Order: sequence, then structure tokens, then C-alpha cells
Amino acid sequence: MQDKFSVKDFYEFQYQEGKDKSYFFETNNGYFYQIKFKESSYIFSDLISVRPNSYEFIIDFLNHSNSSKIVFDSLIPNTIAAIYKDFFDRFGRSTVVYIIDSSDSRESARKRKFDRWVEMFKGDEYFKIDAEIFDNEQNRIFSSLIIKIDNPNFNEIIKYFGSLSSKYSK
Amino acid sequence: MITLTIKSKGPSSPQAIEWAKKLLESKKQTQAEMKEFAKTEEFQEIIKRLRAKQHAR
Repeated sequence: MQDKFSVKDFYEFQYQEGKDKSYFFETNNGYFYQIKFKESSYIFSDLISVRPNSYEFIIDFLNHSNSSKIVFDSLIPNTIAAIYKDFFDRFGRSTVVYIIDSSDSRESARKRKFDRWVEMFKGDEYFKIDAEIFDNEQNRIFSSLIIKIDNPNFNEIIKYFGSLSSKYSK
Repeated sequence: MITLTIKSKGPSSPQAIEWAKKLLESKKQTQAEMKEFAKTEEFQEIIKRLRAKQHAR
């Protein structure tokens, strides 16, 4: 399948191999981002063939500039998209899950931000499935899953992830 | 990117709630570990390497 990833302008990033796959980049505004694809076999514990290639996507940042001001930086989504692309180039059979914390009621903003990061993937090489989970207190938890369309376990993964949503889903 | 959205109108299954809570806990724990890692020499070395790459660009 043709690679249609089109982002050219992004921050230099550093990849670090390990059990978890880590990436680092620094912005012009003094923010230092850590991204981790954390190996998490429990995500698909019922799917033996999928378990070893399952990862959680986790991001965190530090600010060295001592400024609390958050400045919009269009290179950040570009860089995160480039990191996703690099990760899938290295580990094409991976399944990546992102979960969004709703404890401070800012989950919708976080979801929009995550969608901006990954919308840089153009074309039909990747597949994302978004699902909502409601806990017993009716808190809405967003989760997203990204895989390559040519993943050999594609159907199994989508079916399993879909089954985690409500029986009232549409 | 092809995107499929599953909208939910009602409560999720106990299995789904447990799955989500496990992921949220893991995320919280990992972010705390990342903050600790940022205090290490190894982290400082990564910053140095990154900056060297940026200057060489």
C-alpha cells in the first residue's frame, strides 16, 4: 500500500529502544516531551496472537523555561504524527491504544487534541477506532485504537475492541 | 487514516470498565515514572543528543 504520510516539518526526535519504546523531543518554547509506547499484553489478554504486539500510548511533558504559558505550536502535532509513523515503520504489526482521563472533566478537549495529533495520517494505510466507555458513575472514558490496515489480526482486533463498548452502541 | 467511531448510549460492561480503569491506572503510573526519569543523568544525555542533532540539521 502506498505510504501517504505527508508531514515534512517537525521537531527532531530521539528514539530509545527497550521493553517499552520511547521517544523524546524538545520544542522551541522549552517544552520537553516524552512519549512511550508501553508494551501491555493485558490489553488483549484474550487474543494470544495479538498480545505481544499491544502497546499503550502515553505522553508527558516538562517545561524548562519556567513559564506557565501554553503557546500553540503547530509543530507538536506534526512531530507526534511523525513519531507514530516511525513507530509503525519499526513495528508494523502493533496495536496502539490511547486512553483519556476524565477525572477533571477535560476529556473532550484531550480527545480533540489527540485527534489533531493523528489526523496528520493521510490516506488509507492506518485505521483508528474510537470508543466510549461509561463507568458506574457515568463518567465517559474515551479510548482510541490505531493499527495498520494490513495487520494480519485486523478483524480479530476490531471485533474485540468493538465488543468493549456498550451494548447500546450505534 | 480511516476512522470508525462507536458512540455509546448506555452503561458499559463490567469487563470494559475494568479494562479502561486498568489502562488509566497504568497511564498514571507511567507518567509518574516519566517524571522521575526526567531527573536522571540518562535523561540529560538524551537532551544533549537531541540538541546536537538539532544543531547539526
